[in-house]
Amino acid sequence: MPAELTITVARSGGFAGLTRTWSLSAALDDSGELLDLVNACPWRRVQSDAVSRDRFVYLITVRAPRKHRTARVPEASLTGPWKLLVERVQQEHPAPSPTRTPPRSS
Amino acid sequence: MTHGIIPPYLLRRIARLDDAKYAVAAHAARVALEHDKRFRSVRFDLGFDENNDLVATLVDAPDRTISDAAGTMTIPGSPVRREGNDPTGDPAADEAYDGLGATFALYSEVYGRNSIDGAGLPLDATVHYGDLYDNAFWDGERMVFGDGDGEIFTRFTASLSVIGHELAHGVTQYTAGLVYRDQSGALNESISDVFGALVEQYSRGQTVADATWLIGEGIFTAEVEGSALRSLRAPGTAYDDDVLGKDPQPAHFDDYIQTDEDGGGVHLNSGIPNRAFYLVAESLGGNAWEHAGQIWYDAINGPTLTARADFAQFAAATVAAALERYGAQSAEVAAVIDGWTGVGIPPLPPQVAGST
Ligand SMILES: [Zn+2]
Repeated sequence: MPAELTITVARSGGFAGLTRTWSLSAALDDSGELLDLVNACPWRRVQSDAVSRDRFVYLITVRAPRKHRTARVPEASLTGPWKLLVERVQQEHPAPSPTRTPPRSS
Repeated sequence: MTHGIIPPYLLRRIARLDDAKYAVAAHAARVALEHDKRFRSVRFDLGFDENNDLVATLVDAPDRTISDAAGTMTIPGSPVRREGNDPTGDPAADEAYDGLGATFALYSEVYGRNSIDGAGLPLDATVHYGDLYDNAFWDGERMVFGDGDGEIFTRFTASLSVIGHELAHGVTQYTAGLVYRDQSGALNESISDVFGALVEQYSRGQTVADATWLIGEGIFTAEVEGSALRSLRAPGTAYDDDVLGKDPQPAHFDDYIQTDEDGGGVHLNSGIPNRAFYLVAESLGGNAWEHAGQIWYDAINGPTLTARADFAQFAAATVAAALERYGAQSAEVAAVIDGWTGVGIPPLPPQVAGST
């Protein structure tokens, strides 16, 4: 099986508290442009947002052989390459059913 | 009696009136101008006293501006309706305008609070934010409303409780400042749901028994099996839909949800304090905004509540608030203790709480 790149976007928060997930998988060999976009994102310097209420938060995960990146990006910081990356994943995989955060009781 | 928003130029003209017949009105206008140099908005109630002299009474009034983002994510967008303007004919803009007015009225008329900050802060909202945007939020300065995707959600201004919820986030920001994570975050959310529900009840004149206790009634499309997003009376029952699943809100502390999403489940665990408020209001009966609402309002303005308060600390703050306002032997104190006990957070008895 050829090596794959998988990008997952889970959007949580929001007034409704619903989590909605999108994902994209592609053969690593065909993903040069996508990897450039992934590498352009400031994974270690995500601006936090302490003032907004009810805004979305995007949990973005990238998996590939020897590559695992994850960042929690508040909507207010979803600009530049972050925005392009999320839009790309959302386009590739038209929104499936939204689901609420799976309840896990304490 | 006539009501109207007096623009600053007219207020200045009234202030200069020399005629003794208008002495009271002129004095009131001068007070208004001196009181607030930045002059925002004051409602003037004009009438005649027993000597047939003109009497002007100054009343707090909202200063609303509704802007239209026209489907973009640029805030604030273009102003489409300012304070005192006629309706635009755009339902989202007019619902936002009316909803901000109804929310201002609850805080001003019931709790004596002049706007979000207690000092007449202008109320700003943006409608038509984003493309098919499924959300409404508070950005620290303004309320922002999306139109919904049309499949699950319609426009978020369609529910007065949603507008009241967003504005209450502003009030919490200026009072308790509850940190938006875990239990303090769920309290922040719950306070917005409580006052969102109370705005709707006050506006409609509904008692505890008449009210729906729903948040977001009318923002789901007809396709969704559900009446609203949340229920304060019965958390976990607002919807049960093939696509959305079942409303997962817990109604009891035993069912508190641990999760990393949504700031630690702030929109989920809010069901627990929401239910506590409902139980207090149900026990006291009548209009929920009067005694139950007053106690919650006092608690978020109280001296002991910290920004990282957990459920138990907030429960103690409401007991202290009820004790302070209604006395140890009051039905209010008993109702507050019973309400929290009913969701698995029994507060300390008031004499103990008072001495610690
Ligand atoms: Zn909220």
